Amino acid sequence: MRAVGRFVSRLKWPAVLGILAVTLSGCGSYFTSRASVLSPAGPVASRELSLIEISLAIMLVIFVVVMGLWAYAVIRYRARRNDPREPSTSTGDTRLEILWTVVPLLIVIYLTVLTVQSEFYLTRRPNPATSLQVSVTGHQFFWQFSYPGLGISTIHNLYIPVGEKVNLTLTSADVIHSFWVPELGGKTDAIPGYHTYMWLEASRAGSFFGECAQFCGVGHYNMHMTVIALPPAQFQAWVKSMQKKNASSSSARAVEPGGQPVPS
Amino acid sequence: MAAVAELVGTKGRQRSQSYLMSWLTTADHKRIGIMYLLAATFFFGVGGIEALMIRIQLSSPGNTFVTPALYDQLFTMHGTTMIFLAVMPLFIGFINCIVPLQIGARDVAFPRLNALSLWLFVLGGILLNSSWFLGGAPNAGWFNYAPISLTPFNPGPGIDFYDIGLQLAGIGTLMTGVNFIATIINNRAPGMSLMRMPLFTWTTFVTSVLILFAFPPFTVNLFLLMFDRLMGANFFNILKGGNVLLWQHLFWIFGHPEVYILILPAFGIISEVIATFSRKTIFGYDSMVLATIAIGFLAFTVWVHHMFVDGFGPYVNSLFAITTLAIAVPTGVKIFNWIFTMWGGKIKFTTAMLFATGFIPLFVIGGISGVMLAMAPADFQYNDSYFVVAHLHYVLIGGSLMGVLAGAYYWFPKITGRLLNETLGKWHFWLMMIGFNVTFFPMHFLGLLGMPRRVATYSAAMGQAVAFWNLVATIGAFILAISFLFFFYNLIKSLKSGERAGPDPWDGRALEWATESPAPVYNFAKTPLVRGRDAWWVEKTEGDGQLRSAEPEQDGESAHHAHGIHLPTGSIFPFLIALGLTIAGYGAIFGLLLLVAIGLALAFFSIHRMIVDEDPGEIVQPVGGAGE
Repeated sequence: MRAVGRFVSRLKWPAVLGILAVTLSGCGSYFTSRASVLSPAGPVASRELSLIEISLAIMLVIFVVVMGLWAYAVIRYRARRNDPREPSTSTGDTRLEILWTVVPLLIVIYLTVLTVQSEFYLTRRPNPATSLQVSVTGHQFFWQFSYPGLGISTIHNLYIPVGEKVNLTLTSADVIHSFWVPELGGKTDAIPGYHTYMWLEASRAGSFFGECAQFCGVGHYNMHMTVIALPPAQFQAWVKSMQKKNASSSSARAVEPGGQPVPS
Repeated sequence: MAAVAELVGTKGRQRSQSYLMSWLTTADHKRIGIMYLLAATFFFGVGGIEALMIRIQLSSPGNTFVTPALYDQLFTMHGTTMIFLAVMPLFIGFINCIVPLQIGARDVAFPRLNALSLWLFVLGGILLNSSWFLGGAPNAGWFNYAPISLTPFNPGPGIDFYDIGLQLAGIGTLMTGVNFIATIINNRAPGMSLMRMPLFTWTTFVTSVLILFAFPPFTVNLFLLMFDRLMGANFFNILKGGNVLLWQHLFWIFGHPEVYILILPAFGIISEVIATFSRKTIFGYDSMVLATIAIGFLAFTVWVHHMFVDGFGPYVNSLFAITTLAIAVPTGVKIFNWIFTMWGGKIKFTTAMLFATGFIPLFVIGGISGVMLAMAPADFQYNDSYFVVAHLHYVLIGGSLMGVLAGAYYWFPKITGRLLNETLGKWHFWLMMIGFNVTFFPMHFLGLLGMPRRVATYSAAMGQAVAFWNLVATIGAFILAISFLFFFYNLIKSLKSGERAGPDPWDGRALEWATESPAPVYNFAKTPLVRGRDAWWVEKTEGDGQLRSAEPEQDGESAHHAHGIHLPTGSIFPFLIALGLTIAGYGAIFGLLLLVAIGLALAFFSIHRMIVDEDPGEIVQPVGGAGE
């Protein structure tokens, strides 16, 4: 124990910080992924990330303060050899106890305000007149998307226009699933017997990887989807081509050509 | 076991039974506690092996170490085992061994009921784990949501093993709750007012109340599921008017208090250990008690935070976010009180104290991520991702298990009479701190990088970061496992040849240190008179270092010295009740009605006998006086 203390006090802190800085700067690739909460591509995910960042920052301050007190107590009040000190006989301190009840309470109230504001913003359903309506159905183990106003249906791939709010109505054909496209926004469960709602918006064109987050059986790990955000003109062209296929096809609904076949 | 038996205070008891029968029939809270600890340690090992298999499977993308079907059974049984069969019974073991001593009682209020609790837990746990060999283990997660747990999606017997096994163990836990509420209210020694109770006794009391109110919803849920699966009912079948969210509500109305059942006893242990080794009384005792009660109450008001993504809308989510955030306040009070108990103390870093001190940063990290998770809109991202896995292991290992281990190093001498080896203990502590953080800290990143929970594998296309942090976590898990090899070796070695502890090896403060190690079967030769908080410390510092007797003296001798001490006798019927119910459980799982009938007949016969048989008790002559 004592050796550890000596080691820590003899460390060359500038050198340590230097090494740490070099490591972190090379760390970019250790904090990126195909579907990262940390790289939002729309207002929902951005709002959620900002909430994560604010709360994390406040929590880090609390962590540093609490751990500072902890470390001071642990180091300063260790029993040493031939330690003549008598332990304090204090049993409490009302002022301190009020302080560490009231300050956390104020922090919690602040976090509550942020939480409630974001909660109402994120669950406010967009105006049906100006937003795209999509019905999402979870199946073991694939996602089905249908556009009730447009008469199209796809599996695996959800096509949406960039810059437009998309209003999703979710349900499930079998067990509970959870719709999650981390770069566009958090989850909403697809529950048999219920309709749940969420909205998403992509602020740039691209493919966004999505997955089922609620355990749904042996194929859960492989229940993926891709949200393809197209510029509005391209989206309209895609809708037209799908509708044309519908008209020429004998089946009422075409399955999106790029999609994989439905697993049996 | 033989070494334990020799050490455990059974010396005063005259027995004609065989060694095995003496354990099967015992009603002594200390022996029951030891059996809880042994069985729970076994199940902890089983759950740990399952965890290692999970980590091997996830160590690289696309791994095929286990099939997805087996993986689903592994994570289900890992969670179920660790929560119901390992951590909770470890605490119940300590509660049994220590709480009656701390309050100066002879035994618990209902000793035979206590034995029944034990055997229901042991046999329920065996039934649940036997599923591995009898058609496949449960595979719908420890949360076992409907409808994936229903027959159409899950035709094998696994879920029935979950249902019946947890029903048996759960009834046992419920009776433990009742027993300790009654014990703590009724069996305290004279002078032990509520606000003089040691904090471990206080947290046990609040935990018992949580058990009393939390387990019935779970019991109901398990019955509904049993009706659906085994008798064709439709509580959760939406095609016949059932509702799948009924399970989720009942489960989490139980499930959230359950996680506090797993942490409050740890708070109590940490309070005892920190006060003892700082050589100070606990800082802010009153606020510690109030915080415990507040946390216990709030536990029942937050269950929907497990269901933030169920689409209940902004009003419901906001309300449950607020109640959840509120829990941070009393929990923070406890953290500060522990730090300020050390403040100004003279801290001796025994292994027990290392675990209690190390608990604080780990639990603070778990608390911080808990506050972040409470913010519902942020939880839309965290929910069902590895961020939650990181959080729950920081509170369950960093919190609950660190509490268990602090308690193990602290109370092992009281339970067995021998000290655990300190050098091995320190190896255990440091390896565990490294292994634990290396395993679980990266899981925060994995969650934010988009890795959902309960995936049997992940694609390399998720990115190298996901593969890298998973590999790091797997390496950490093996370091964690190695740290426990040190612990198990220490347990066996110290049991055989550890240093003799003597009654009070730590210069303790509560009453358990005022009697021999291990405590004699009657606990205290004379019922002690409690003269203050930290009852034993008061006698050592303000009295003559001897417990005062609360019993009337006759000619210089207490009544107990003249006539002996009256103790409950053991009985085989608690074991037979549990055995009968377990047989009936197997019958129900496999549709063998004759087996159900035989099992229930045995159970009802034994219940009848346990009720009508008068317990004459036995008279034991104490050796020496109180505190000697």
